[in-house]
Amino acid sequence: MFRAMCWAVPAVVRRVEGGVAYVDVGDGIERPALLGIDEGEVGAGDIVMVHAGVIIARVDLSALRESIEAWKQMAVELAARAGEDPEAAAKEIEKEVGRVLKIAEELRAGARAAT
Amino acid sequence: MSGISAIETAFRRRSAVTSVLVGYIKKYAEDLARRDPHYVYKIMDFCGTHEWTIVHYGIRSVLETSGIKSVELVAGPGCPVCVTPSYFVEEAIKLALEGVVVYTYGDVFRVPALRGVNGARSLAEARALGGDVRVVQSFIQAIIDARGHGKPSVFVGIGFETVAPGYSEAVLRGLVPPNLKLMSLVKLTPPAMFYALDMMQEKPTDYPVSGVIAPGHVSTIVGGKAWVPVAEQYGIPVVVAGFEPHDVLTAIAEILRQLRRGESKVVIEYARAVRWEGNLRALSSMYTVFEAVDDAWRGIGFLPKSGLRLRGAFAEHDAMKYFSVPELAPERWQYDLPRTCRCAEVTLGKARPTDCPLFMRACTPDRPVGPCMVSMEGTCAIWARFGGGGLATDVARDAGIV
Repeated sequence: MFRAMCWAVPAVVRRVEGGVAYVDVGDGIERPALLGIDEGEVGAGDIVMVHAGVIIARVDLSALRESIEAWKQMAVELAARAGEDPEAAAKEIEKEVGRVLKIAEELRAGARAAT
Repeated sequence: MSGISAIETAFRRRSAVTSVLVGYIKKYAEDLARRDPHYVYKIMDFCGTHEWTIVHYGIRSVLETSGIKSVELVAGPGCPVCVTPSYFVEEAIKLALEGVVVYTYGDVFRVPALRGVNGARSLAEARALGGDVRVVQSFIQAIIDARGHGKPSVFVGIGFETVAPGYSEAVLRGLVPPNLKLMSLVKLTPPAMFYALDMMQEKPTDYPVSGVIAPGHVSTIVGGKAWVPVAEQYGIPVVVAGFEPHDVLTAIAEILRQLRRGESKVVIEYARAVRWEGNLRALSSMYTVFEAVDDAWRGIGFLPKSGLRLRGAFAEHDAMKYFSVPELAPERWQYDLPRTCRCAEVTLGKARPTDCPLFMRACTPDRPVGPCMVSMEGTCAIWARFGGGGLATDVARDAGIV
């Protein structure tokens, strides 16, 4: 954790007090992190990227939807080219990414360790 | 199973997404190969953490075993520890031996300086000689610790744009105690990318760089917009990517897609964390406290407006002023890598670690000679640890496994 300079770790915000956020990287220990983003932009339960003790970004899980759509489109195109069922290929992607999103939701709820 | 390892396992299983992405990269690479079957499309992964993902997950091997021969991934200058001039490491060692408490990150602690100071060639050796050198993971940790003892202290603050807002926020919020001074050695990434691409164009090793995977976390601060000049000036696609293997594969697919269509756009793949305009609050805080200066890069020399120093208004926090550390001027800068160490070329993507005569012979992670072998963002350290560049295959061949 925090082991390299560009290495930001995902963490869940537990509370924000006096301009300092207390985050949990998954080990259940609350650590102070400076707010590198606007205070109003982050609240308890948010997933953020923490870099060297500073919150540099809030993770927008809805943006993952764009990636999923792009991957699905690729899968459909490739399946069509190979003479396979494009719909099944898209479903396969949806299922798999759904699993990752579920993990993210569990992380958010604090039910699962981040690291 | 934990979150991160669940994602890792999904990739290792050669998941549906991986297969689709590799399939797509293959399709695009085949289309491009019809134009010139021998051309190699070099894609520079700027950030050391991207190189870590590429080597750790064996992305080069995934491409190779899938029959994709025309795409080569080249590591770029994204390792701040590798490019911090030896001079400042030596000055920090000096301060430690003079009784100043020195705080720094774990990789800076181990990085070897070119010249020893009273027998100490690194901050680790300075500690062995009795210096008070303390490894921390953040500036805030150093602040809390320094407040407790009140002794004269310095924080050796290296890093890229990602760390700067942490330093500036601490200064602006008045958190830094009077006994702790900041030695700002922050480097800015766009000037280094320009320089690396210029070098590859002016003194080409073989093929020029056809596309760039731009650093994801640096871009949370500087935004996707920071890379527009790169795409426009060099006419190449730039993709800001995240650090999961699927992020990197998606970036490669997008770069090839653009190349096939003759496009050169900046695309943010890491949309879950990066915005086009960047983190305006962090940028404003950073430039309130710091100013961009011409700065030296280890083994490379001075690059214009490529470093951050504290502005005059915050001089009370400036370690250079407080401890009278003379600033490194271009006329005083000397080539600062050990002879035969090829770290600078590795940093600029002109050589691979395996091209260096010292790699895994005289220079190993246990006994690093050059700075690229120290940090986990240093290309040599990553290749040494995970067997990049065919190292693992060579070992397996020697052992008669393959």
